[in-house]
Amino acid sequence: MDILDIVKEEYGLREVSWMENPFILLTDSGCKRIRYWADESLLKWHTEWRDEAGKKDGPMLDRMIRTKKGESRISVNKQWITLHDSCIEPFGLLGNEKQWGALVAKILAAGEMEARGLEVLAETDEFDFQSLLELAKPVASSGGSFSLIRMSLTEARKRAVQANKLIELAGNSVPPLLDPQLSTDSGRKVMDFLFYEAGDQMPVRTYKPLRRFLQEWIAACGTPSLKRLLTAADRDYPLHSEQGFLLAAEIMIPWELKECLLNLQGGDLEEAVSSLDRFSREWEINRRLLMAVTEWMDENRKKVAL
Amino acid sequence: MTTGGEIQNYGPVLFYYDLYPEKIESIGKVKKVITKRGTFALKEAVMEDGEREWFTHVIQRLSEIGFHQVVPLYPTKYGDYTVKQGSKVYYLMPWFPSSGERRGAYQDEVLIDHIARIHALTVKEQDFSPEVAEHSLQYLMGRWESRQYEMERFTEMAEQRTYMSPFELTYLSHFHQTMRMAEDAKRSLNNWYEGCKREKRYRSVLCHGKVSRSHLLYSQTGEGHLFNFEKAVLDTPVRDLAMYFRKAAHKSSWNRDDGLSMLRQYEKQFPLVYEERELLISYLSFPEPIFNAVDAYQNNSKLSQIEMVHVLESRLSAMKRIRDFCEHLSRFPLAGEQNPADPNIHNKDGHI
Repeated sequence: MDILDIVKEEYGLREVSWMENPFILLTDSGCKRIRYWADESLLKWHTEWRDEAGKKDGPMLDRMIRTKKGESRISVNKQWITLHDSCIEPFGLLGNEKQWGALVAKILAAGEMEARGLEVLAETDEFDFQSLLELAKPVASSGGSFSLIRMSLTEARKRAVQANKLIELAGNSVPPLLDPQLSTDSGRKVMDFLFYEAGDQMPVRTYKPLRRFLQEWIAACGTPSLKRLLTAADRDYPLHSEQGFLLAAEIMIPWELKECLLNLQGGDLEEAVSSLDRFSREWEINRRLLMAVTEWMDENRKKVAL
Repeated sequence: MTTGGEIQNYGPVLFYYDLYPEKIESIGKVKKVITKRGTFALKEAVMEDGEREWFTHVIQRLSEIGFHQVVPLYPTKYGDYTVKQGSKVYYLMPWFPSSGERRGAYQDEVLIDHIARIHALTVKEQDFSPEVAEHSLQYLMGRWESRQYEMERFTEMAEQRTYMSPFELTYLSHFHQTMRMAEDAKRSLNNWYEGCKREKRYRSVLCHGKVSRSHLLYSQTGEGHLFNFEKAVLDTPVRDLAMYFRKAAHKSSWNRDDGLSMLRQYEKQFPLVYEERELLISYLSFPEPIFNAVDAYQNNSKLSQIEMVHVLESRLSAMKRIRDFCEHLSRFPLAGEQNPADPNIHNKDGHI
């Protein structure tokens, strides 16, 4: 039986055709996206995580549409498929900080859900400054364009020390599980509300996806907007306390330097130039992000103290 | 009338059902939603998260136990039965045509019949606890006495005025009668407590919580279906009955025979026991509607003086009808068992 017929039958749809084979469908109930899952426990986590986030009102996640029998998935050819709404119109960032903030809070809160039966690929990628120095050795002795790397090493050491202090301040708190594909590009506009198309990858227990999300935000909208976003998120999920320390620590860790050094190991000149270029941009954006987040946290502390 | 604003307002809710409205009409708290996929009723409510879960459970449970005269809920595309948007909760049902052409008495019969059936299907004999019964007695007694005290204070204040307002005058001329009703209610409440202690029993049922003709709809086949179970609760069956009779008595044409006939109808399916009958008399006799009118008067209701007097008079008349009903109710034979208040029966059974 063709996948279109299966979907039509299982979901009680009257008209189904491919819009973008094999992912996007055009149906009598609007555009739908098919996701394919090989790992059942991963599918279960994504289903429960989306449902958990859907318990609260406000921005919506692309939850699994139920079949006629109320199932969240169907089994097809030794894998599972799920059906989701698919929307095209992007949801703006600037001016919509409240809605995006509510979404971030929802995603973080839902990520605190227990990952039952899921072998989470927890980010054990701890930052180690000594191994960074080892990576930097070959380039640190070269001159020219690598002077940027050499200068960044001192700053990176300070940031790593500061990040460790923040992690200590957070005590036993751990970050929630996050969808690694968290991005400002995945927000869609449906009748003036924010509809978020989440990913399908293994969740990670680190604030790296949020760091990247915030980098995208500050690059697109600037510092005041980012602060409004954090304030909106903080209303539903406390970012000014332990979880905020973990987020700030994640932003502080100079991951962009490590990534650049790893890219430079190949020795390809063209790649080296592009890596340095990317590093320089990311370093600057992250510097702005770090300033904005620490300022926001300080402002919040002052408000509490007052 | 549909406005673009209404479609905009309810669009996000209807998105959960993949419904794109062509027209939305407001009919009370229900929106009639006309779409290419059919006509639906979207109900707006205020419920906490726990209440939402309970509400969904109640609807599903009623169907499981064989009560199908409930307006069904449509699940969202995500399998939920309610949608939360801000402080409001919404749920979607099929659209049933208007029941306006049906006669009032017939509607009441269907309503009482359905309520009795739900009570019969969900009845549970609770483990009798004298402490819980006594706590309930003391709690209600305390609340009623404090209400009486508030009303006495209002009376004293009104009496001190040189010129009483028409409202105060109306209230004062019925004060003693009102207080007598409160005392009757307390006496019946004591009878309920003594009955529970003696029989060592207490029954709970699923109460609809908002028994009203307006919560009854008729399908195309003419079958009555109940809806609005938002306030459903496990409690004594008397809770629903008291609500029904209180409301019914507000119609000026209602009399004790109508009440007795409806009670007979109810007891065909779910006969009350002695102490439940006493509790019903007690709940009905306490003049809370009159006291509420006084509260509204004291809290500067938006109504004019004359409108407030009308409200009070209407409630006094309703209470008079209720009193008449209750007097007959105490003599009305129990459908399911013998009345322990009857000395002959008591002696024969050796209860007392």
